[in-house]
Amino acid sequence: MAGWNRGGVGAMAVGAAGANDRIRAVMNATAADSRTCVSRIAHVVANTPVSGGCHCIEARVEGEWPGARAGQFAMLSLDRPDFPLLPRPFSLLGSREVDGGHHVEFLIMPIGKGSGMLCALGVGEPLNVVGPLGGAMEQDLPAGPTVCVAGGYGVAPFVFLLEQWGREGESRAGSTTAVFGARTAERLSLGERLTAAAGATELCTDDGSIGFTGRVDAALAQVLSAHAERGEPVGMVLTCGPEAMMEAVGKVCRAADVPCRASLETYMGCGYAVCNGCAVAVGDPSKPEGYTYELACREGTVFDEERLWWKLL
Amino acid sequence: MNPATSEQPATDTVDLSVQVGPLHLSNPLMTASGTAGLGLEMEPFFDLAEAGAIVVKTLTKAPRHGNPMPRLVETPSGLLNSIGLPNKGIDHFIEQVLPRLAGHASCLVINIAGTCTGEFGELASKLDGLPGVDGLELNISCPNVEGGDLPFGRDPDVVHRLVGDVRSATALPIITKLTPNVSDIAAVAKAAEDGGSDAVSLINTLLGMAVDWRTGRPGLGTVVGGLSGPAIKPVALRMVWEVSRSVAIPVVGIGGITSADDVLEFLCAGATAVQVGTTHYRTPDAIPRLAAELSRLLAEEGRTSARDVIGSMRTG
Repeated sequence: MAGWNRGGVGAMAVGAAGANDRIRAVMNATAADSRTCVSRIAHVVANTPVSGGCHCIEARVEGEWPGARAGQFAMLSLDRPDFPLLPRPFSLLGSREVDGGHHVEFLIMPIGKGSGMLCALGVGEPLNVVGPLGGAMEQDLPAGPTVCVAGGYGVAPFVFLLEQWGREGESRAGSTTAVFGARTAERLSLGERLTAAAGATELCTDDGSIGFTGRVDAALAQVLSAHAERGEPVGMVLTCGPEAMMEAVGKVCRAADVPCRASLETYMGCGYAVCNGCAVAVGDPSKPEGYTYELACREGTVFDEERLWWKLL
Repeated sequence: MNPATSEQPATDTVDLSVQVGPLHLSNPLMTASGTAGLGLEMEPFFDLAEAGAIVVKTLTKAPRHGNPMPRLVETPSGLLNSIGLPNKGIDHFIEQVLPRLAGHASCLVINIAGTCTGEFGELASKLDGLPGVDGLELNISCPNVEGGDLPFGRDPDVVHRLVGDVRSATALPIITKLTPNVSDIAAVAKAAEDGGSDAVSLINTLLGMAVDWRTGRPGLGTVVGGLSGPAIKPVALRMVWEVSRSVAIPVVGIGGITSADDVLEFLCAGATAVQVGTTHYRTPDAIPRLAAELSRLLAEEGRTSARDVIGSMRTG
């Protein structure tokens, strides 16, 4: 993908050839300004409330839909006068062929008007889908187990990643640990799907209602040291969730010298790199004024955590 | 629908073509600068030749990083932005982008902005005669660069001189894009016409702001930005009408267009063509959709040409 910047991570890529070949097949088609994103109408085939107040919306896309990988997203909107002016970005929770067509799936928390209207959609109702957008999170993964750290509804791309790997027989699925945190057990939306798809899962809650009592960064530190002690150092940490959580995850990774990629949720106008509204300050954070702007929708949404200027996000 | 017949109106007999000065457009739909990237970003969604014209995002002499976040705030029926003209500079565009873009659009208009009046002429002469470039749009009105409004767009004398500089630097058709943040936009349009502009486009965004009283923080990183979207359409229509009565050159209407009815309203008020902007964010293929809808609406009314609608508003 144009501008995909892996920092030092690309040079360490020695494993996961099977997955990388498949990803390249998808991502090559998305190189530089000829991306295979499309604008389509989809019809809801299922709207399933899940714990934590979220909804899983599954929709069948009318017409062609390019293959998508975990970490990619789509812009959703409704052709109704009361829907907000701008479409809303959502991580893909799933993208797969069903009965000769394509189904896409999203995890949506009704936090505002747009997301609320999407969560209220009934089976058979149409929505506009522009996607798939952004880059895959699994591109050129280094050797060694992967750890996915999710917070709240940031779990969506990891359920997609692990279920996709599982369907494709990718051996990485079994060696991947998922660390998933929320305030309470009830808010661990899709915790069961994540647990079923990951090799191991560490659930964390602030109130101790299930699993580890405390934050995901503390749980991650334990997972990383346990792997190191077993002589199987973690190759990559992928994280998606609230910004403060991802920054804390990045700190743990840097202390353990493990590369980390963060999937950012930014304010977005278009999702396909024309509005320039989703700028992210990246560069060498140790150098004053050493940053430039990249677009979350085009160069991200997945960034090497060590390049992010968190205080400017 | 014509009540005299139950047959489908013949949309293929409707002529959508318009003439913006020397520029012949196959339909009146142009992309508004800053909402369609450098054109290539739209190619996954439609064939660029389907647009009357593609207007690229503003190019400047030196590369620009753009403004700090947040750059966007959604408002009722509108969008506030403060992007700050990020671009890799005119030379990068000419060397790296134009060769890939040339020939894709049926009419390609390059939007340029200088940091001083003389720079406009310099940019124009760089683009003069380049294959694939059909016209220039002068951004004398971006509200989001250092010091607030670019000062050029507010003073008729400065506009006259600036457009004259560009006129002497290039044979390309010139469209001058006007700011609504003035007390007399017709006077500025007249100055552009007298300076040698072939057309004027309006309106650029209206200055606005948003604030969160709970946090005490402004919505935009630069506090003040430009408002676009359906919220500004009535203001844009009014200004298009005022300007079209004051100048002899064509007027390109911009502001909140989301439907073919909107397009025809602008034409009726005096615009020869329009630019489609913020609606691209939700509907990347808005232009081909609007073109089909335009033909259908005109056929339903028994009109055979979009040109018949231009300036057809009657008063009194």
